[in-house]
Parts: sequence; structure tokens; C-alpha cells
Amino acid sequence: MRMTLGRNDTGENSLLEQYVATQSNVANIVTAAMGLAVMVGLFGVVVLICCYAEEDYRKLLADLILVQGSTAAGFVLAGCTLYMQCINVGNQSRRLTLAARLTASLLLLLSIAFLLQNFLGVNLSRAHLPGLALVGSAIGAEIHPLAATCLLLVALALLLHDQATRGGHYPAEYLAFILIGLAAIPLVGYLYGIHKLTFLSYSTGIPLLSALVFLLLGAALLMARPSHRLMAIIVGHAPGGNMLRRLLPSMLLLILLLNLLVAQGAEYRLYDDRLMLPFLTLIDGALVVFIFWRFAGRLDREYGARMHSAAKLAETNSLLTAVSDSTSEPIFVKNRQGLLVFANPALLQQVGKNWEEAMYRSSRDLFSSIEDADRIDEDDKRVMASGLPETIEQTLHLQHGIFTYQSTRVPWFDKSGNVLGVIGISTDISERKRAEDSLREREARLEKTVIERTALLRELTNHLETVREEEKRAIARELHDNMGASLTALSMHLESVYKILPDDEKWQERKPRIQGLMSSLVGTTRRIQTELRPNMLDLFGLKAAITEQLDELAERTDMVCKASLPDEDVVIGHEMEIAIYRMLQEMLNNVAKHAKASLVNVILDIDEEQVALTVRDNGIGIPPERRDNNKTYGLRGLRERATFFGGSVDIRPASGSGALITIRLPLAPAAAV
Amino acid sequence: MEQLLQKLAEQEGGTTASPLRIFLVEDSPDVRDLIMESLAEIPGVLLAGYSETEQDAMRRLEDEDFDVLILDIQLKQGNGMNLLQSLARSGKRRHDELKIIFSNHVSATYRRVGLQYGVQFFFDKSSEFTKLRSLIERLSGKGPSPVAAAPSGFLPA
Repeated sequence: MRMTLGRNDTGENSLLEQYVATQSNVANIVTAAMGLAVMVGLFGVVVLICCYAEEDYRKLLADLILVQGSTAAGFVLAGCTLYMQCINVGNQSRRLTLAARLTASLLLLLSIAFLLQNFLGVNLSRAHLPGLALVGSAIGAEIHPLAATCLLLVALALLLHDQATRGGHYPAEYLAFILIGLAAIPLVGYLYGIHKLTFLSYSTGIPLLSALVFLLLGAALLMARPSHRLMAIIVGHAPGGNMLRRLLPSMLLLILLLNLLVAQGAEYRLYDDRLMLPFLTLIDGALVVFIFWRFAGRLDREYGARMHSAAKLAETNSLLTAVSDSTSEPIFVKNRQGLLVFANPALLQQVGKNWEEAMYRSSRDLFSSIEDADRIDEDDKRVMASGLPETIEQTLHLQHGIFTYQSTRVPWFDKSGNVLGVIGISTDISERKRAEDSLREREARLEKTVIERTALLRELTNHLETVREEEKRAIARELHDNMGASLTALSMHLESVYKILPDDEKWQERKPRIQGLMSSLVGTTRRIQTELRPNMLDLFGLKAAITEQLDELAERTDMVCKASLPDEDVVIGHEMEIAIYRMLQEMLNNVAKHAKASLVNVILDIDEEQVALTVRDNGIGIPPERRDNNKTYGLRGLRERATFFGGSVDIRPASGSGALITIRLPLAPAAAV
Repeated sequence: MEQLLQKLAEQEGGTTASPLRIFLVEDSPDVRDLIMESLAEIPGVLLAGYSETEQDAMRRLEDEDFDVLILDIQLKQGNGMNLLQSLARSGKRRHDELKIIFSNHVSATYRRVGLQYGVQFFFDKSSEFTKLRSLIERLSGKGPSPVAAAPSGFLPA
């Protein structure tokens, strides 16, 4: 917000502002310093070359030659050193550091030599380095003492570039400022056309280009280390740096322009020379007032904005605090190391500690159960690693009981998307959990009851079946013992009676009628008896009983009945035998009643696992609606019996025509089903 | 079968002095009495004993000496078929006595099983008592000649 305001206010500096605001400004400033260093170095090289130019070009290059080869050599050394130091920020490369030291020391020696030459008249190069004389007059001639001083300053600044005092000050920065100040003197002189300032009581003036290059060198020296104390002020985001960037260039420019105008006025005799000083005083005073007022205004606005945002922050803070304090759901924030950095009262209550006790504690310190703590840490780590929110159900063993929480974990990101930690909000779902558990338990109980009841029902069915069979057996026994025996005895008596019947026509005609009645009575009794109790089954087993049934059916209905039975004796237990016998009876009855068949096949198959009884007829078949209809008594009876033994009934159309019914009963004990 | 009968008759005929010993297994007192009454009328026939249950019959048959065994299939306890099976297994007895089933259960299946146990005759209790009587008469050697009165109740062997 601050930045946008500033940008709108000062249009002229908006580019610089933007530049400073960018993240890579520090690196960019260093790059700019590198550019300046290269420029200075190249300038030195150009000047050196010009010094050896032909006589014809000398006039053209007079300005460059004026800089002098000696100064130019200093520029080359200074440019190289600065460039190396710009590449080698933080002294990562030892070789570069050493090279920079070397060139800076050379520069230092050179500048000292120039100064000695100036003040003591010692010509070192001539006296001790005759080789240099060969190079010509370009190098070795006396240079302006200001230039020599500036070179000395540059050399010192380069040597001390990264040295800091104990207070955090960088001497190189102050040296660079002095350098800029010194370079500014002749520049101002040139600007106002005052020779005193350019000559500085010396025989020749310091060249304009030299002064400019020194100014640039000073700036480059500062820019090469933007993180150092003084540079940090102007580069930084703080209001001071802001102010400096916005006001400094415009104010310098303004002073320069106004003063120039005043001087021009005096020169054109608009007013007396004596009035110049008061004018300057008034204008500079006005500027100072303006600067301070503006500065104060800016500062106040900054302060106001800051206060405003602080108030907003406080409001937001209090709102957040109110929410986190009043909610009954534990909220926490942990850092990457899993240490608690924020906890609301609900969480503190959960762990039974106050904030001083819980602050910067790990889960193991907070929770009494180590397993719980480790599980929490595991969840947190997973969320931090994945960067995705998760909702977890956790059961915690707290001091006041066992609670179940539904905990939502969210990774805590900084502005650039790095994970700083994890935020968690938990909801107590113990009640819900308990309800769910009890529901589940009740369901299980219900299921168990259903199973028990089913077993009971099956038991009951079994019992009913047994009772039925028992009753049938009793009736059959009764029939046999009493009625059957009496009938038999009666028949035998009658046999004797027939012999003595009167020989008249009436009795002879009655005799066959009596015999017929008798045999019908006996036959019915026998049939009922057999149906009630398959005597054959008891006596000779299943195979014989099946054969008997088929024989009887064939006799009764004229159907062709065929049986395919296993060779070995069938021993599958009395209950199952009687069930199979009854089911066969049922099926054969159905065939006789409904199928209109002329052929019935009965197949009994027994292996180690199951008994299969198949009845196939060539009749009209069983219509599907009847086949699946459980209400059809006969088929339902079959299914009930088969189910009781854990078996199945399969009804399908036979190939060709008719029906095919297969009953399969497992030979495992019925209780296992 | 005819041959067998002939043989038996000759056997009996050869020892006219000794009567034909008959053992009866029948659970119904009415029927049993009737049979016994009726057979006792035949000269040369001796009722060696009777039994109502399978167990009792088994026990007594081990000791008794008899020529003809008349038995019912369904008994108060056990059944005639089992009895025949047990007798065959016990192996103590000679197997040349005549075994006759006199029962209400005379279906083909029973006949088939009975044959396995050495049963020679099947008679329907309700309608074929006369035939049984004729057979016994002939065996005792006092009845009409076998050829003249070939009983229709004989099994086709």
C-alpha cells in the first residue's frame, strides 16, 4: 500500500521505485556497478590508446588526452579491481580475491607515487623505473594532486571494501562518499565556470572527464556492495530509504538548477553581484524548509498508515483471538519441528496445561500417552510432507477420559508456498462415536439373534418333521398291528367261509364281491401304511425303497419307470434317507399328477461330498411361473427339505420335453449349515 | 421248484414216522392262532414253536429243530428279512429247511430280496392262506398228489 502511494506521488522516481521494489534489486545494483566498472576500465584503455595517437588526431582527441595516461592507468586498475570484486561478492573465490588485492595494491602504490611526485617532486618512475620512460611522456607526467588523492581514495576503498568496524560501519563507504565529494568540487567549478575550483591552486585544472569518472567510480564503489550499512538505507524498503530515494535526486537537481539560475542572473547583470549571496541564502533556505516540511509530511503519512495498519492488525487479531478463545474446538499451530507455536484455550484444556507450560512443546510433552503423541506427530508430518489438508479421526487418552476427535490438519504455508508447519482444528465426536459404536453393537447383536432364531426355526422345522415322521410311524404301526392284522385274520377266516357257502347262485355271485371288497380294503390299508411309513426303507435301505416306489408308480400309472442307482449300498443316515425318499415321493406324485409323461428316469448319485437325486420326465414340463413360485406346495416342500439339509433344488426344462429336477444335499452334518 | 418240492416230499415220505416240524414267526395273535389252528388240523404236522419278535425267534431257532419256517416280514420287533439274514450268517444251521414268507408285503422287491436269503415261497397273507395250507398238506405227505393239485401260488422260479 505504501509503495503504490509513493509511486503515485512521485512520478519522476516511479521507475527507480519499481526497480527498488523488485526482489532482485540487490543483484541488479551489483550488475550496474559491474557495468560502471567496465566503463571506467574501458575509458582508461581508450585514454591510454589516445596518448599514442598520431599528431593529426591529437587535436580531435584533446579532451581525452588531457586526462593523462597516468590517471588512465589508475582507472584501468580501479575498473579491473572493482569488476573482480563485483563478481566475487562474499569472497567466494580465493583466486579472484587475491587478484583484486594485487591490483588494488598496485593502484595504491601508483597513487602514492603520484602524490610523492606532486608534493616532494620525487619522480619515482624516472628515477627507479627507467623502463617506464620508454613508454613515453604519456605515463609518468605529473598529474593533478586531486586526481592523485582520488586515486588513493579509490585504492583504499577497494582494499577495505568488505572490512567492517566493530560498530558495523564500512570505512570503504565513507571513503567513497569523500571521493564523490572531492570529484564534485571541480564539477561544480566547471558548471559555474569558476576556474578556482577546477585548478585548486595548481598549475593546471583537473580534467572534466577525470572528475566525472571519479564521480562514477565513487558511485560504483557504493553500488558494488548494496547490502553494506549506508547503501542498505537507500536500497531498503523502510520509509527512510523510500524518502531518500524519492527526495534526494530531485532536491540535488533543484538546488543545482536554482543556484545556476541565480548565477546566470548575476552574470547577465540582472542584479548586482552582491545580491547573489542573499538570493542564494533565501532560495536555499526555502528549499531546506520545503525539504524538511515535505520530509515531515511524508513521515507523518507513513506513520499514520502504519498506525492504521497496526490498528487493523490489532482488530483482526482481537477478532481471531475472540474466535479461537471462545470456540470449544481445540485449535493449534505447530512449526516444522512439531513444536506448539499457538494453542487456543480449548486445546490447552484438552492437554491440561497453561500456555507457558505448553509453549514450544512437542506432542510427547503434551499428551500423556506416547502412542497418541507419536500418532499425532506422524499425521502432522504426513500433512506437511504432502502439503494437502487431511481429516483424521483420532482417539486420545486424556486425563479426564478417552475422547474421539475428528481433526482437520492443514499445512501452514508462507507467502512463497513453503511449508512452515501445520494447523489443526479438532472436533469432539466422542458422543457420535459412542452412538455409532452402540449402533454397530446393536446391529451385531441383532444379526446374532437372527442367526440364533434361524437356527431355532430350523431346529423347530426339524423337530416338526421328526414329530411328523414319528406320528406317521405310530399310525402305520397301529394300522399294521390292529387293523391290518384284524383284516388279515378276517380274510383268512373268510377263506374258510367261502368253502362252506351255500352252493346256490346267489351266494356264488356274492363270493367274488366279498373277495373284491376284502382285497380292496386290504390294498388300501397296505398303501396307506406304506405311504405313512416306508417299510422298505427301514428294511432294505434307500436303493430298495426307490425301486419299490418306481415299481409301484409303474403299476399305478402305466408309465415306464427307470432307475439308475449306485452299485454299492447307500448309507447316508436315516434322516437324510427318509428325506430323499419323501422328496422322491413328492416329485413322482407331481409327475403323475401334472406332467402327462410316459417315461420317468430316476438317478441317484452319491460321492464323498453330496447326494444328488435327479428325476427326469418326458411330459409337458413345469411352466416357469410355477417353477419359481414358492407357494406351490410340492415344490416348496422340496425346497424346505433340501434347505434343511443345506442343499439345493434345481428345476429346469429337460432336453427335448418335460422337466428335470435335481436335488443336491451335502453329506456334511446338517448342523454345519 | 417242482423238483425241489418233489425232493422234499420224497424226503418226508421216506421218514413217514417223523412229523413235519413247523416253526412260525408271526406277531399278530389273531393271525397266529388261526394259522396254528388250521395247520394243526393237518395230520403229520407238528408245530415246533412260534415267536413274535425277531430277537426271540433268533434265540429259539438256534435250539429248535424244524423242517419248515413260516415267517411274516413286519414284526412287533425287528422283521423277518433281518431274521433270515441273521440265520444265514450264523451258519449254525443247515440250510435245507423250507422257508416260506407269509406276509402282506409281497411286492416284487420283497420277493427279490427274499430269494437272496433262500426263501422258496411267498404267500399273500390276505388271499393266499389256502395255498399255504395246501402246500403244507402236500409236504406232510397227507394231502393230494402234488401233480394233481399244483398250487397256483407257487412262485415261478
